[in-house]
Amino acid sequence: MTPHITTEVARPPNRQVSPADAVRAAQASLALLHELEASLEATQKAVLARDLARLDEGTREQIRLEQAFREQWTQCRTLCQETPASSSLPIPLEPRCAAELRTAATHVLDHVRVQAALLIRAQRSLRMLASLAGRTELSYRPRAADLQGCPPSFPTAPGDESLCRV
Amino acid sequence: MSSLNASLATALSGLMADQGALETTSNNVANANTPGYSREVPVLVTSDPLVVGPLTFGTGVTLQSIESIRDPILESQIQQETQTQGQSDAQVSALQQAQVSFSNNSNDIGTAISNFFASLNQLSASPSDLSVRQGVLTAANNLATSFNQVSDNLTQQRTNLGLSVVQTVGQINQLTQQIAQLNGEISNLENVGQSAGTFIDQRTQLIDQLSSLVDVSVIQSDNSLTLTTASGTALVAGQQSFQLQTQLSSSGQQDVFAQGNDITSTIVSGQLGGLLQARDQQIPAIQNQLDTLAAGIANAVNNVQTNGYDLNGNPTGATDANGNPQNPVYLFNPPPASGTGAAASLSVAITDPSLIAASSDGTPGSNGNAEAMYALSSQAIIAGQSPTDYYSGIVANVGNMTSNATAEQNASNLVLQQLNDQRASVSGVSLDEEAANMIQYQQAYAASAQVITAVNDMMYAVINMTTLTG
Repeated sequence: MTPHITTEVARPPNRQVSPADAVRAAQASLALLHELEASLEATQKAVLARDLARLDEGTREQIRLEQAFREQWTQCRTLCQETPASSSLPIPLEPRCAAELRTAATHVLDHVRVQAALLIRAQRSLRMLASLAGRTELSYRPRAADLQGCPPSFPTAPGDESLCRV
Repeated sequence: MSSLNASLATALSGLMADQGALETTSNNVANANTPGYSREVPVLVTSDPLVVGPLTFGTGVTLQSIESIRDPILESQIQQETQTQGQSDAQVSALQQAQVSFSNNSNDIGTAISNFFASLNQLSASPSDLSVRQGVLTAANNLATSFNQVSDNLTQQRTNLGLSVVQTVGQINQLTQQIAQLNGEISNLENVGQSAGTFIDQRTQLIDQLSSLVDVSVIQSDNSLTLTTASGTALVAGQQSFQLQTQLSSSGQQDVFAQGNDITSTIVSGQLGGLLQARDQQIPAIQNQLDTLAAGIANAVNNVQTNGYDLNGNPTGATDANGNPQNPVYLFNPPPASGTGAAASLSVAITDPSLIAASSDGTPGSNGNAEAMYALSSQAIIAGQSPTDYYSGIVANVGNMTSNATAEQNASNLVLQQLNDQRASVSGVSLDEEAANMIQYQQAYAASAQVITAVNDMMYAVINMTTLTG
């Protein structure tokens, strides 16, 4: 199962789009995807090592790369829409280049899925540790601190100081 | 009171303790590559001192116990992750098999749908051509066969998953029996104050294996261990194991029972959870979508078919005086009203190509109805989508489920690798450390032996002194 990629070509106004422009645009996208893939690999290691600083840094980088990627495709679409219907756009990419793009996109998607799965596990593991490190007299009732601004309908036991009172 | 004999006994305790410690090191080195082995450390404590008047004399050393080094939190995390891994392994395997039925080939449903509507397009161009009409019937048959095959494959896969459920339950029963037996041996040893490290290692390994099969919660009390499923079904309580059973349900599937209660829906993790989810949720969901598609196409085509005229000018949806249909001529046998089983039972209702209602006015050259049938290919006739789009949705859905399960599997592998490395650093044997310990115990042993030699010499002197004076 590979995501479908329609490759449209960004072209400067008043200039005919050439196949070379298409290849350049594809290569730029490919570079961004490779960068994103490398960044995701790094953050996977950070999640495993519980290295929050590296994870934070990697996430910021991924947001930047995702925005750059999105901008590039938006620009391509805008230019293509302005092109007269008789235009030959989108220029078909050569199969090898299109396959590379598809593969890179699939890798990114796979890494994102693994990253999400790892983050869920990290969260679960941290919750478990938090429970173990919690008070020995922990009950199933929510702590008062967790109930700041809790809805008035929340059931409170009379005389229980640990519960939120509204 | 201090005496040479007391010194001898003290030195002897050193010899015994160092010998025991060396034995522990020797065992660690021997098991350096044994999977699941937790390194052991000797616990040396000072023997109770002897108080004589104002003086307190030490009485040597005691090898109190041999402890295995384990991290219970780490063990618990490994068991939890092993359950997730078992679950995703089972799901990936099942979904990859299901995905094969939807792979792009000349017989897949997507191609059969395209070919069927292409044949209707040809019919609209040559409505009275019998060979073209035969082509429509052939394409309709191919479409029905594609649906039947994929549906049969999925049903067969569910049956196979049911057999795997039975096998897995058998493995679970075997493991719980072994764990209960080990619980007994561990309890017996600990009751007499002996170390049960080796048996605990074996039990931990068995619990790891069990975790990969079913969701296990471990409850450790002072002298006993209880295993339950996540929903609280007892598997092992001390030295007693509780067997799970499988039983054929009314739906024809093997369900899991514990002490007479059906617990199938409560098993959510481990290989068994993965098998049950694939069998009872994921594959049936795909089958439902296929049924919707098959029923949607059959009903839509039949509706148009019964609104036209066959090659001989006869209405295919003839009605009586009250407007009720009488012996309508369908192209596909009508699917069940609920839609369930539509893909498995889809079949072509006619064999005579002249019965296809291509004409909308009864004249042989009319193609109005054939065009209407062809137009269905782009109409939103199935849940607001065209047949091809709906089928693409099914394929994407199967691919998505497979990719998600694969991602879960990869994540589990990564996390388990990490956790196992951590366990190795805590419980694994470091040969360098053991070599250092060995030298330390060897030197201490030699020193104690030296003390004994010295005491021996002193005793000899005392004996000689007695001889001379005597």
